[in-house]
Amino acid sequence: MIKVILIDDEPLARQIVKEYLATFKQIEIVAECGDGFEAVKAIQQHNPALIFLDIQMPKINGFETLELIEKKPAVIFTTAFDEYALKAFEQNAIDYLLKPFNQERFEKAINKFLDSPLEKGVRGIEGNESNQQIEQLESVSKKHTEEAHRVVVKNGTSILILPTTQIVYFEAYDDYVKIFNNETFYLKKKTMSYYEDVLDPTQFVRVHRSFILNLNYLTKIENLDKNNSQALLKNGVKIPLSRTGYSKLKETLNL
Amino acid sequence: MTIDKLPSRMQLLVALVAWFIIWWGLQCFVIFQIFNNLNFAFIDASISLALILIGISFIFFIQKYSPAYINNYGSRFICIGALIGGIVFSEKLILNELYYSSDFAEMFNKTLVIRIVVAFLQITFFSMILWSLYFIRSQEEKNKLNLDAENTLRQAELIKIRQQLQPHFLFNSLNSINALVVSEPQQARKMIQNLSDFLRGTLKKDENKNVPFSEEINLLKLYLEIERVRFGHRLTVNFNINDDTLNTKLPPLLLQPIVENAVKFGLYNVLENVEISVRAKLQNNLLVIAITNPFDEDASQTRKGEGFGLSLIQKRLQLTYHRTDLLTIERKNKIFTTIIIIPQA
Repeated sequence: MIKVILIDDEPLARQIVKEYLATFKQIEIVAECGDGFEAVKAIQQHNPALIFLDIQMPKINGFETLELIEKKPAVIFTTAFDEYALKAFEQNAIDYLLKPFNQERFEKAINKFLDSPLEKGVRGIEGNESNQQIEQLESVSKKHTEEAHRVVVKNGTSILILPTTQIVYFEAYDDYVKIFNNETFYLKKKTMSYYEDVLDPTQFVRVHRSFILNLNYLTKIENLDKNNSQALLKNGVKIPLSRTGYSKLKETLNL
Repeated sequence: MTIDKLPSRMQLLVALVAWFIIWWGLQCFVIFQIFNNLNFAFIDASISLALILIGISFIFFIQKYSPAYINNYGSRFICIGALIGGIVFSEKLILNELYYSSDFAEMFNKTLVIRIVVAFLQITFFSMILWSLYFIRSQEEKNKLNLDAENTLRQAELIKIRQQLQPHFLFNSLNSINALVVSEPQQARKMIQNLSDFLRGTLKKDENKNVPFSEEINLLKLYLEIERVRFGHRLTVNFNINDDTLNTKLPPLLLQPIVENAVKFGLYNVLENVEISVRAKLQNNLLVIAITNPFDEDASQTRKGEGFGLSLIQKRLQLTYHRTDLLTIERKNKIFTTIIIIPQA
């Protein structure tokens, strides 16, 4: 059996997917979720092969939900979103279904999934190249949906929504990024260039290959010697500035 | 050649000071020629200049604080005349105090014409300049106001278009109908009816004509009923409308975006059940409408769209009623309230 989870905050929207799925005997719906939090839990629990995912949902949207899942299942987006945003994640997903959609269109999407390498054993979208591509697409859609002002992170089993105003800096950490607020840090499997791209460039500056800084927390720039300088933050943390980072910082601050 | 830059404040100040020094020097010279007394000439010219400056500031303040009083030729020349008379008379009084002699009156009369001419030229010149400046400034303000009004209208137009299309709402509603057709055909039929009535209601409205509140309430009810089919498990709606408000009038589709925002923010900012309430009462001939929705204090940062929508409504109210205090918002106990006041004619 192929395990499937339906994620949509409108029961009727889930109902129609259920109805269309009834003809596929090899597919089993293991869970239905009305928001991203439930979805993250259900996906962890059931490890489905495929999810149907709405974009606009309470608290955290479809993209953010997807970000929180480590072992990503195949995704079919179901949304009434305009084509603009759709283009952005077109290649990210198995397919996208524009609401309202009919059974034929739906079956086409399911067949696409059944024929995809994802279903044939190559699980997850782990390759570096495709990951980058996805990030690019996500960043485009993020700018479009104006959600560059928050980052959703996982802390143990709970999910936190960090407003970017509370983020002090980002630090690269192997394949992850450490996101620091005043108390602690959170890990997220993303790249620095992703955040550099998504965040508001007047507030966040990539001052080093491994650091992005929130300007609101900057107190002082110290020149150690001719080629070395560092930024002093309000919480006492010192962050090295690369030469290009230093000039970028000066440019942003209009110095 | 065109002038593409106005003189700076500093340049203007220098020119002004130079202007007064030249006049002062001129008056000194003339008085000296007549009386052959340098000391007297300096004092006389200085007093005259001081009095003229007082006269000019007098005109300046009238121009600034009650321009309607002075902005016609009649009263302006009466004003100028009075000032000239006052200046020359004061000169006589002061000089008489300082340099009393038996033939003072005769001496003064010798220079009377010069004094009147100087005061007349100075006062008239500055009066005209101040008048022109006032005229230019008020013209600029008028232009700006017109531009503002035009922009607001255009924005309102845009909003109206967006309002009418509401693709997101429309497609999701159609999707719900799609699901209902098989499971609950009667409900599907009702939904189609509601959706059609709602769309018709939003399409035919003339922006500039006020409509009865009862019509707007019906439209809101249609809208919320549709949303309740989509989100019935989470959404409850609570109307509390006093009967005496039903015949009041308000601009069409003013409340629609507010209620839409309330639904959107309620549904997307909290996970729990969402109660939207619409209350209305008539108070001192003012229609007071309050719309509430729950919101999450921690996570809710005002999104761009919300602020934009509300400021447009604010502008629309300002344009219609020339008041800025008709829209207020309140965040208290996890409840977001939008209050709108509509003055009744």
